[in-house]
Formats: sequence, structure tokens, C-alpha cells
Amino acid sequence: MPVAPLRGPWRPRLVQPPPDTGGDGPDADGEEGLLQRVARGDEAAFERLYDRVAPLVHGVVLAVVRNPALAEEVTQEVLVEAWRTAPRFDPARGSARSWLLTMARRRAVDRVRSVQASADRDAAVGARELERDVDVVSEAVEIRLEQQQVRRCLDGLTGLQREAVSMAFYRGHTHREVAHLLDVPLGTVKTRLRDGLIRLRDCLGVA
Amino acid sequence: MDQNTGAAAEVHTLIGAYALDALDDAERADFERHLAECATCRDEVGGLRRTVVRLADAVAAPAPPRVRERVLAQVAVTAQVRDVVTPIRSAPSARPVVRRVWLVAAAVLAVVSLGAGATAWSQYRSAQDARAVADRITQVLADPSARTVQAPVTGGGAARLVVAGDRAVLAGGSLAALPADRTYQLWVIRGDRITSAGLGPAGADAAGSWSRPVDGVRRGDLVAVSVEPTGGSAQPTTTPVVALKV
Repeated sequence: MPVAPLRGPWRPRLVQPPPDTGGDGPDADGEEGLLQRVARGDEAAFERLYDRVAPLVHGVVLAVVRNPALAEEVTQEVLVEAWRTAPRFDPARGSARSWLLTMARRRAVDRVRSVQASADRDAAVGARELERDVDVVSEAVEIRLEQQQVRRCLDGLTGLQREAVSMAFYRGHTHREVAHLLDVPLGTVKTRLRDGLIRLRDCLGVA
Repeated sequence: MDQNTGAAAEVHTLIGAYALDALDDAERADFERHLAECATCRDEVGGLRRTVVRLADAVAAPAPPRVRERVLAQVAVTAQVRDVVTPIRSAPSARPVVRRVWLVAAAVLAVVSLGAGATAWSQYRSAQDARAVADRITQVLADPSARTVQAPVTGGGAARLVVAGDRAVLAGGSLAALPADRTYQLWVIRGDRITSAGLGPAGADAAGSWSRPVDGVRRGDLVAVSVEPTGGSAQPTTTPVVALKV
């Protein structure tokens, strides 16, 4: 590279960080495309992907761990993990969002479980615990007005469908745990999870 | 799905739990075997998964800006997994995954190779173990209180300065190669005083990504990089390619 000779006293010009224009073009790439570029070590693509998905990851983690400081920490871990394991992302198996979401939920649930003694969890089985789960979903969903549709669709589920879906999604319980906590047969939980999601899908108009 | 056996119908009822990631590992493996044989199921799973993503969207909440800074700083020194073969595509921005390792390894190599003309590295002379330098970089980048400033570098690429207390790391990315007899050199500028903060890589090795620790910085200092004759200069002899405010 050409090197400019120094003339006179050196007065370094402070370079300000460039304004964040959001990359080379709006939506030039989808999230899957960005994630595949990230998988090849493209740091600029990672920054763009971060800006698109960080609120999703953070929101889900916060909903699960319910502690802002812990949520920040877990969000950071998940996104660094996304960078690290991006080469394992397989677009044939689902969307980038779905991949990140699964990672975020698992990490958040692991963290909650390691923080909370397992005995504590087992002892807490009961109506109180359950109500809390449902409340968290309600509160979290109400955070954003534009998410009224999701709220409305959740309201359209039967009580058991909503509880089962919420416990699986926001608390990271397996369907067996949900059956145990709700004290209903496993087969019932399976069908409630499926029927609940199908009803949500149709209500939300998901293709 | 009229061909479904009873067992397949049974496993199919897991589709909701599967879409919600609420199965244990064995059940998930069973279900994925079923999925491999059932195109309709794959369609249904796709729709249910997108529904689950909508549930997540409903709770989306912006993360504080400090999370972004920390993540980007950590990513700069985190190697990616290489246990899978990713298809090679003709993307101009594609870089080997192994590049990330260089951010830390470059610091190690620099200390080792500079053994002879180590004046510019005097502040690191006590760090007999090259690993210690790499560890210092990692510590700064992992510090939750770390702040980041970044700017483009004249000649190509960008530099990011991560500051944690009085310690900083300058990380360059996509930097230009230098002539064989030139090296990057780091400087700390405090008021009128300009102090060398050590050498960056030289010649062709200067291309790409590398990072260096810069210790003893204060708020208001400038950390700058200039191109100097190999071996470094006592004071800068060329216009800096980048200057970042601590």
C-alpha cells in the first residue's frame, strides 16, 4: 500500500465510527444467506445478522430466565455460540430463526435449571407454578402492541392447549414434564400441543 | 398418510412436541426417522415451526447495546467449529474459518518472532510466555464492562479498539499487506506525547486480521496505527492509517 510521507507535525485526525447504515443494502440477503456467510467466517454478515435476530434471542431468553442481568449474559452466550457453530447450520432443516430460537431456549432453560435447584422445581409443582407460567406468557406477549394478534390467537386456545404450549415453549418443559406438571395423560398432552399449534398456525395465517 | 401403520400414526402425534422442541433425545430421533419417510409431515412441521417462531417474535425485546459490543468483541477472537464441511460457494467475502484463530495466534507468533529486535515490545518483555499475551487479549475481550470503538483503516480494512479499564486491545480486520520492509506500529497519544505501543505484523504477514494488547491507556487517549520501517520507529514517521479514541 502507498505510504504517505509525514510533512510537518503529526496531527492525527480522529476517525469517528461510521454511521450504522445497516450494511450494503436493505435486505440484500435473507437471514439464511447471512447465516451461511457467517458460517464461512464473515464477520460483517454476523453483525447484520445480529441486528436482525438479537431482539428475538434476547426476548425469548428473557421470557425464560426472567432476570434482565441473567438474560443479557445468556443472550451474549447464545449469539457467540451462533457464531461458533454457524458451520453446523443446515438450511434444509429449518430457518435461521428456528435454529437460533432453539439454541436460545435450550441455553436459557439450562441456565434456569442450573440456577434453580431441581428439588425446588419438583416441589413447586402445582397450581401456583402453573399460573406463573401462564402469566409470564401473558405479560411477555403484552410487551408489544403489534403482537396483539399473537395474544388474541393464544386467547383462542383452550385452557389446556394454552397451558401446554406455554409450558413447553416458555419454560422449556418436555411433553412428559408437562403431563406430569398438569397431571394429565401423556397422550392428552401430545394432542394438545399439536392441536394448539395448529390452531395458532391457522389463526396467525402462517403458511 | 393412509399408508401409516399404527406405530407411525403413534409417533406422528409427537409432531407438536417436536415443533416445540419438547421431546427428549430418543423421542426426537424416533420422530426424525418418521419425518424422513413422510413428506406431508415435513410440510406440517415446517408450518408448526414457523408458528413457534411467531410465538418468539411476540416476546422480542431489544438487547442493550453493550450486549452487541461484547458479542462482537468476543466473536473477533472465537474460532468457529470445523467438524462439518460447508459447501464452498463463490462468494467474494468468503474467508477460511481458520482465520479467526489468527486473532489470538498472531499475537503469539509476533512475540516469538520479535525476539531479536524486541525494543518496540519492551513493555511486554516480562511476558516470557507468549501465551500470556494471548491471554491478556482474551481477558480484555471477555470483560463485561468492555467498550468498543471502530473505524475504517486507510488502505483497507477496519480497526476495532476494545477498552476495559486501563487495558485495551486493538483488533484489525481485512487489513492491507505492507511492502516487505514495512511494519504496522501502534501508538498511544496523550496530549503532546506519543508513545510506541508495540509493533503489528510486517510485510505480507500484515494482511488480514490480527490483534495487539495496548496497556496503560486512559480515557481521552488516542490509540493510532502507522506504517513504519521494519523494526519500528521511535516516533511515527508517516500519517496514521487509523486513530481511535479511548
